[in-house]
Amino acid sequence: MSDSLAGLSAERPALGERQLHRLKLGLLAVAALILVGYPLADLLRSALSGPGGGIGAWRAIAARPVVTALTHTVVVSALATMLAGALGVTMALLVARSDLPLRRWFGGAWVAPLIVPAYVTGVAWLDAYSRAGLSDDLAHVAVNWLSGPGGVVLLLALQGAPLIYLLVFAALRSARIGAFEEAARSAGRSPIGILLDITLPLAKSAIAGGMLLVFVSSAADFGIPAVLAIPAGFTTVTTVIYSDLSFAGGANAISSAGALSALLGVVAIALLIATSRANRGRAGAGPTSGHGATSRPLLALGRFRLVAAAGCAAFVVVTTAIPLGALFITSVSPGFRLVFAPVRWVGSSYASALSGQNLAALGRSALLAGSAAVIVALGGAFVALLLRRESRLASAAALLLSLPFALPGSVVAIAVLIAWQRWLYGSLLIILLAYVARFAVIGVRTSTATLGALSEDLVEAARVSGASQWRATRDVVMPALWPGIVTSFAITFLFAVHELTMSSLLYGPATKTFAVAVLDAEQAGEVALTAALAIVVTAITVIVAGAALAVRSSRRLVVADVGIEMPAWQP
Amino acid sequence: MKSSRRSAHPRILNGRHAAVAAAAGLVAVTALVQAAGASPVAPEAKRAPVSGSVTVYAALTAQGGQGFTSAFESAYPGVTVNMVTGGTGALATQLAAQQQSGHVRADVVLFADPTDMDSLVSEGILSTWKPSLAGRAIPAGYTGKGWVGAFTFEMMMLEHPGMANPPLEWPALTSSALQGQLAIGSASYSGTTFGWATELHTLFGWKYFQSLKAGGVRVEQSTTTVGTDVASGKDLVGVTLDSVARSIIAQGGNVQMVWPNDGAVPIPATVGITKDSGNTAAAKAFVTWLLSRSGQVEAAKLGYDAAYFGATPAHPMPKHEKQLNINWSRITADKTSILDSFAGIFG
Repeated sequence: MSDSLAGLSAERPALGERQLHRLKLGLLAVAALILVGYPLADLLRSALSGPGGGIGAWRAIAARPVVTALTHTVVVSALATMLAGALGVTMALLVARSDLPLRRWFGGAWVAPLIVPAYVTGVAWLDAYSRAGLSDDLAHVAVNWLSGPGGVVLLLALQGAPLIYLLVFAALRSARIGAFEEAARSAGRSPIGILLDITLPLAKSAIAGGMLLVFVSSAADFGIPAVLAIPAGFTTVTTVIYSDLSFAGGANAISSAGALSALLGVVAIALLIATSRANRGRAGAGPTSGHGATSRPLLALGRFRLVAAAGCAAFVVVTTAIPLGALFITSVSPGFRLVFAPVRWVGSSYASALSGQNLAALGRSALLAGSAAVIVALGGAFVALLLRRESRLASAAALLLSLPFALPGSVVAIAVLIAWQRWLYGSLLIILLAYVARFAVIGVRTSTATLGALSEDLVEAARVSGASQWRATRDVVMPALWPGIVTSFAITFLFAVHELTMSSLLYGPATKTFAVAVLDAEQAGEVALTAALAIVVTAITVIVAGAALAVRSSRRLVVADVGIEMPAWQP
Repeated sequence: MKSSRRSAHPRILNGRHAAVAAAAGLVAVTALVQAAGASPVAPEAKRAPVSGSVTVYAALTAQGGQGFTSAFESAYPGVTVNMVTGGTGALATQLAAQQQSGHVRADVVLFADPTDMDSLVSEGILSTWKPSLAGRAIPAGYTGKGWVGAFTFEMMMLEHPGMANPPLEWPALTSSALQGQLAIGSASYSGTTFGWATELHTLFGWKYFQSLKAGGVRVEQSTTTVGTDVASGKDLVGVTLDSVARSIIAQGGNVQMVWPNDGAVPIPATVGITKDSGNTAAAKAFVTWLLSRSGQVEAAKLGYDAAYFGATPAHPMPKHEKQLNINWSRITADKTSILDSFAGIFG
């Protein structure tokens, strides 16, 4: 009997199975509505007609301080994008097209800052280069404009440059560009001519896509302006949303932050559409091959090889090593000034960073990030399985779930706050909802990409050989899904554990996360404690990223290029 | 006239939220920490029996909050204090959001700004209960509907020693010699800075603050940050609290306190209990204790200016120094426009 049933179900899903499929689709739809649909709809409703919102809130937006903040955001992001573009393209050309010594190593060193949380970078740079910082103490050199728009532009650019580098590097590795260059070279064109007339024009869409990505993620960034712009009285949209909600008080604050968020969200979605168009253009540029660059480098640095390498090394030292070193020295110096003698260093700031409320915050962050990562990884696999069957509902839900990652964190947080605060204010659950909503796309994309590599024929073969749907899923599909689940768990955990933007807007008295503890310590003037907390959160990030890389290389996991296809907002 | 002096008050460190209290059960770590603090010991026979936990929202440094917590818990062994510290503006916003969501979590509110207390009473967040102040000389402006002044913060100047022409009066802060070397707090975050800004605006007009802005003043969030900025050498002069200054000096910071010749700005620390309090007995006990002799002694020990009983170790402000008088009820009415003007100048 079971044989005949199995045969039947191989041709057509049994009644029970169809119902189960419908149930799963229903579950997915409900999850997408709870996580994304309802909060975003409620945000729009509140922005248009909420209590104290509506016209009043829009009038508040038209007021000068908000217009100023919007202008600041646009100008700062545009300048940061240009600088990041110049840096990123130069880096990519040096690694992919020159004979720079140690270029692979430099490539790694340039990408490494991506895993350092933005607010940590801000604090570290202040410790290194501001007045009374490391460089001032040692060489009487202080960068006084660091706290202010100049510093914000510089650090946003340094944060964005690796993204552009990654995109342009990938484009330069494409076989197509390599072939054109080779042809031009055979025709006797000069390297600079090839670079200007062939390489850069062909990489144009990657450069444009990357720059758009950097522009949008700079506009949405909160960590860097929180540390560098607020004390200088330089407002950006994200700092206005934060101070409106954190200091201004009352129902009106939430409504006006909602209106501002809705506006920001609409702008972000418009830019996202532009980004995906640019990316589509890039996809049309042809598949990448393992080695687009030929054996002969296009840009022979000749006798400048060593000078260039020294310059690159200096860049890494100045932008990464010195700030992190200053952060460490600050964390172990007793009193109010930097102390360079290790014998006088103290561990007391680490003791308070890892005890009492800060330890509780660390526990909370680990719990939140772990829970979010499990939900995102398993939920993503669930959605990927549903997407294997043609279903408009499943596709629509997956699209909805991918939206929050493309929106600035502030917008997602305000939407979740307005929708769920009545029931969940001050609870860990509201933060978890925001994390899962924002990072859901990581699970969906990674698992879909993993399953994409699995041929449907294998499942069919299992079914034809008499395996039940469940058995075929368990024995064929699940093993294929597993690497995707592990990868999405690691990426989500990494993003969530140092998430600041949403946490700073959603935490309550008993739900402060570790990233918020860093920001609070910074705002309260606890210099050494801030540095110690920042070092701890960076160490956790490095360990998780290292473990993920180790697992990935040992298991050959498939990684969807979430960070490249989708705007990789700094969480 | 200038009297800068060093004080050796121990213990107050810096910190805004570092001691945000843990409420029950959401995280295992938190639950464990709390379980260790819970105690079923009965209170003294003389007092009304109080027990359970009391959540205090206090605009103090983390260490100031911790000092009051330990002292109260040893006076009332049956009560556990959840101390939530932060800037007045930040805490007021949290209370408003909680009221909107239907349940205010705080039992006791201790703010560095009387104007917020008046608003909290009119919004129905604070109850109108007040402790008896019988037998105490009450300073002017230290009671309101639903709140009383518990001790005093003094806004004064903290300066780097050895300055050629140290500013000794408020107008001197606009001097071009201080270009880019001055730090103040944020009026929307710090209640004491709001009080100070309001008073100086009354005396000198907004022009004063426009000159500060033109002079490249750094606007930090908290007065504690202002203090550490001066101690670390980031700035030469800061406008901060006497208690912050004493704490920095006690930690070996190389700074000097300057009581301005034209008067320090006194800001009462105001305390009241919430309408929604789930443990009014403990909330009332906390407020009553804070105003009692032992609460006042603890305040003085923590470096604050005790308001009653002439509590020792010392009156922190030299007796001959001038204090400005502030008309708080007038300010309450203008609060929003004052904050808007401040934000309009400083962003």
